[in-house]
Amino acid sequence: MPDVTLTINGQAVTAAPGTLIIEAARRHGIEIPAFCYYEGYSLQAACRMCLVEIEKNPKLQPGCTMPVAEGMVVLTESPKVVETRKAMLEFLLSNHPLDCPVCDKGGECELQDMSFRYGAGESRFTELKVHGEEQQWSPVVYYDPARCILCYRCVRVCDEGLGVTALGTQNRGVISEIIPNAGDHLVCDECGMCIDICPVGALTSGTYRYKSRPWEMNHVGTICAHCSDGCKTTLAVRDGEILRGNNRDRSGINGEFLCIKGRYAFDFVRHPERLQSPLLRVNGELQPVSWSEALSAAAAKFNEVKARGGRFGVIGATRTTNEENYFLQKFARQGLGTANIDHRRSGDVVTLLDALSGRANALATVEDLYTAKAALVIGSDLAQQHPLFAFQLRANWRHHQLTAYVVTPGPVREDLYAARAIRSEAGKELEAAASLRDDLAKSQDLVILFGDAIKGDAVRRLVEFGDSLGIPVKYLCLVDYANSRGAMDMGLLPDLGPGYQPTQTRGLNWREMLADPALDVLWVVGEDPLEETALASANAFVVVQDLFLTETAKRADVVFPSASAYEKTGTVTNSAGQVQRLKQAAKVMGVKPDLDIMGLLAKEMGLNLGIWIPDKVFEEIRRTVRGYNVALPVIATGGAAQTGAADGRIPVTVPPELIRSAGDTLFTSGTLGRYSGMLRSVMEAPGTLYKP
Amino acid sequence: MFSVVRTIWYVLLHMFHKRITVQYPDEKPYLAPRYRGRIILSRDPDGGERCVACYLCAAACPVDCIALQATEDPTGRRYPEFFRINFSRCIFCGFCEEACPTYAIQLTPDFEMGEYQRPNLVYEKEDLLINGPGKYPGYNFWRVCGVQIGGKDKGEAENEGPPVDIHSLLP
Ligand code: SF4
Ligand code: SF4
Ligand code: SF4
Ligand code: SF4
Ligand code: SF4
Repeated sequence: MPDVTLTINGQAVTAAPGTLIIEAARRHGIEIPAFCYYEGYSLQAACRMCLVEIEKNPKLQPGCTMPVAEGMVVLTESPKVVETRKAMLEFLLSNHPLDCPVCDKGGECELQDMSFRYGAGESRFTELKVHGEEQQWSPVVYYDPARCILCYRCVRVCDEGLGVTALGTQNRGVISEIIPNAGDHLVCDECGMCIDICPVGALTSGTYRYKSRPWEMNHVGTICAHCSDGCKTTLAVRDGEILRGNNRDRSGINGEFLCIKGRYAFDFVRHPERLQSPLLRVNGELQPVSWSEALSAAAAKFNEVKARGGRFGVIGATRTTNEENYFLQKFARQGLGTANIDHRRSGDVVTLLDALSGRANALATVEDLYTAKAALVIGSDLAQQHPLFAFQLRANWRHHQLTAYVVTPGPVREDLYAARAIRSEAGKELEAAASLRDDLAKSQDLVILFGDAIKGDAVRRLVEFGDSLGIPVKYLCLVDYANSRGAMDMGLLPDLGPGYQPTQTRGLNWREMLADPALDVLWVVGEDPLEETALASANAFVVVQDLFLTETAKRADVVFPSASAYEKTGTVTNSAGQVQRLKQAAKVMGVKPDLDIMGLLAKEMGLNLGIWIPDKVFEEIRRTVRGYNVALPVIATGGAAQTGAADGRIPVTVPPELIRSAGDTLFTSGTLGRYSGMLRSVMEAPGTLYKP
Repeated sequence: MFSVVRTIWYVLLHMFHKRITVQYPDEKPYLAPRYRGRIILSRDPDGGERCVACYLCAAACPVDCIALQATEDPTGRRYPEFFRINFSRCIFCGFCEEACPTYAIQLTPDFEMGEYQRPNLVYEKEDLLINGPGKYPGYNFWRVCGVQIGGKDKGEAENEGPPVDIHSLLP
């Protein structure tokens, strides 16, 4: 159908047929105020703020439900409209307290803005105001019904957006209220989407409540430190302290979606047990020492072991930046001359990239999840382990009728809308997926998301299966943490260097390192391998860089306090291979970014490993790592750049037992999660995977 | 010649004028009630702190000399955990008073604030709080706002009906 042309406030506007007046106006820079209308969710027309005058139409019409028509003449700010809006505001405020001085929304409240714009602060009503009791629904969500204007945005985002359906409405008219699903409290994802989407201060959050004002804080757009979905979170910082997280500007790959971890679990930054000084083992006890003392102790040992040709083991992390991982492997391979470097893997990206070698467009991005015609999820409780991907698929289903298929060991939330959901035992996922062949082949295209259930040879068989469908298939290998993917890309692998280039010698993997009785030095950067496996070598000198005194750090001889992802700059790569940039938000006394620690250690040892400034290291990564030659302006402006696939075969076999996902739920996040008071305080925590 | 005569004439004339020099500090000048001098934080008629820590004064202050931190007491009353004015920076413009939605911050006709040590010009909340409502005797923000606090439940504010029982169908 051809586009229609209409006039809004005298301006000629073209829009696709079926576009709503409010959207057509917005796209041409004309604002029509609305409280209940929210792009992407069902239409409500409850607040009546968007009434507009349409020529030859006797009554004002709501712009949020009225589609455009050819030749329509719309006035959005005519005297009649302004007068009506003011009257509508008077109705909305008939029971509203206008407590702006003590209301957390003050300064960024849509109702406050409109009351100012249309001058409706004074009311002609003489009736008493009807107010309900303020309620705390969970550690995250507070509700003050007096301020609620019943726009149902919260109800819709929870129901339609997340599929949780934790909120509803009770009663009618002046006494209607929003109510939580468990009577007087919430049992939900605790994502805080409802709080952010609320146009007024009716829903407030437990972390930010009564703390600050929007104009008092600096807003720093960085990347969530938790799972591998790579959500952009905008942290509001005051005096070096993070006060809240959200993404109201809808930038980044996640729009405004964030789960509880991205929105609230930043409090580990100021956890009282945070290490803030280097520790050195003196007479069997870890004692705080100065940086120079700790650095020289570690460097002296490294040099000594290197000189006598001793055995090093280096274990990197899945939360440190690409720059740090790259520098670490360079340090290990060039500086220490060892091939024993590894990290804990949670998905078989290596085999996937090998199986897909030579193909363009076979790796799915986060955007693809929203545009694909069909999706197959294998072996992951997506809504719990990869909340953003689950949200994208759900939005795709709502907006573009995605056909979803699920093959999991237990019930998952995607079952609610999946065309077919199959339960399969561990190890039988591929056979179960094969039974969907006829259904899948009917679709125009397909995205396959798989977790650690498919690894090693199974990945190759999955790709063969995808090829046999005869439709374009894209793959997404799900991994655990913020930079799990980057750790592999940067070559924290015993047999592969940066960009999956095979190395000359194959080193020990991390399990072998821990089991090696002759290991001289174990260097662990931001990881806690000793929580599950004991260290065989009793005399090993252990150097740990971490935020907290983990099990591994307790065994260490030197501990360096490192900065978390929210306290440094650098880049991280999400599950889908999209690189994004971290920006420093918080400041913590006494810690240094891992890159600085490694750089200083190299200097102390007299090594020349190049400059250790994140931007410079990233330049080197762009030059040398396959697929990382991404456009700098994209990531510098807070966007996500897709890394290219490693073209060319990767001649290694991956031992499947090394690949294991930690199985985090919505409310856990490895070590970091243990140190987040917010995550631990919600009653759903830690939760279990695969619950209906 | 003429100008000298005129000068002497004026000197003579002024000898009989009323003197305008005030013998400060023995004698104090008259200052209008709205004179913009030392800033205070007032209390509401019930004796509670008026300031609700809304940060508007800090935002309005052109020299950025007000610092505070909001917090709430166990009953839900919002108040400043600390409230600090750096008078060595303050230019006594009165913008804070203008911005304050609760009449908490007020400028008073007191200008005698000289100090030998500059740090002594940083006033904390204890130094700012006075024991009265200042220029606005009757006003109590918590009486008109819809938030419940200790001693005032939902529905007990001015112009407010009793809270809704959501389990009943009648308003
Ligand atoms: S919701 Fe908005 S208008 Fe209402 S009290 Fe809060 S800031 Fe003011
Ligand atoms: S926090 Fe999230 S899951 Fe819970 S009610 Fe709000 S929108 Fe729904
Ligand atoms: S709580 Fe907020 S989002 Fe929900 S209906 Fe009320 S005003 Fe709308
Ligand atoms: S989905 Fe993952 S990346 Fe996004 S906010 Fe949650 S934990 Fe962070
Ligand atoms: S404007 Fe008034 S109520 Fe707000 S913080 Fe300043 S003194 Fe307190």
